[in-house]
Amino acid sequence: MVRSEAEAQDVVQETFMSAFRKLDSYRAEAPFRGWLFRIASNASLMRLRTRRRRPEVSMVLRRPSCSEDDCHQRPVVDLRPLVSKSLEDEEPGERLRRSTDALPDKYRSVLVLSDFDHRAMKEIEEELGLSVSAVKTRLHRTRLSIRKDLEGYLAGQV
Amino acid sequence: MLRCDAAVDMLLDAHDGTLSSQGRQALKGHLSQCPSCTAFQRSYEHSITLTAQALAVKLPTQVSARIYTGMTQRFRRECAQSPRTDGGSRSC
Ligand SMILES: [Zn+2]
Repeated sequence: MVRSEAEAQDVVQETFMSAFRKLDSYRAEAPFRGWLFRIASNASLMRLRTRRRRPEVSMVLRRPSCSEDDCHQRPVVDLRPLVSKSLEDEEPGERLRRSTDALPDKYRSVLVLSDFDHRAMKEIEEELGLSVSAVKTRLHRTRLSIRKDLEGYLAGQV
Repeated sequence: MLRCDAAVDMLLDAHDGTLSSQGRQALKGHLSQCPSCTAFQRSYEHSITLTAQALAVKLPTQVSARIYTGMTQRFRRECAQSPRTDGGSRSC
């Protein structure tokens, strides 16, 4: 959720410290991983909140928009070739990480909580203090933007 | 018939499984007649999978070593600052 490696290190430290302090509140029947994840994302969110606010960037809606009689002006690129790749060190993975890094905080946090953390809409709403519709709008815009970037990446490969 | 932009805006709820049955019907009807939106939906789903994969990068060993060192130092510091309440020896 945070951007730099140094920040991430701080967040991890904060997470384990805080987990250690809160160990009493951990219920043995709840999955430990989930509990730790929650603490980590709280630590990241705290950091995002306290960080000096960057200028608010609005995100363009990157979905096909319909004119009179035409909606998909360009053919849709099939992203399947990327799915079979290992994204760990390879270029498309790097490209995707750069795209997510470049997102404004308020969009990136929604994307990470939803598509990486697999949190339920309700939880994201509560965690970020947003309405369902705000979460959905942000997530939709962010996903469409990432999709478009990947499309651009593949189109550039050909 | 549903327009393509409206169909694309239903993909989030369709992915979540929160689309109303009426919405599902409308989207299904549109997709059966619009190959572009069908391809778009596929790429939308793929991009969600790819995001999760790309963000789940392993922590480089150097990074985890630095975190470990940083944490041990913080534990020591916090421990030295915390008052002893029971009069016994510190557990940390
Ligand atoms: Zn369509």
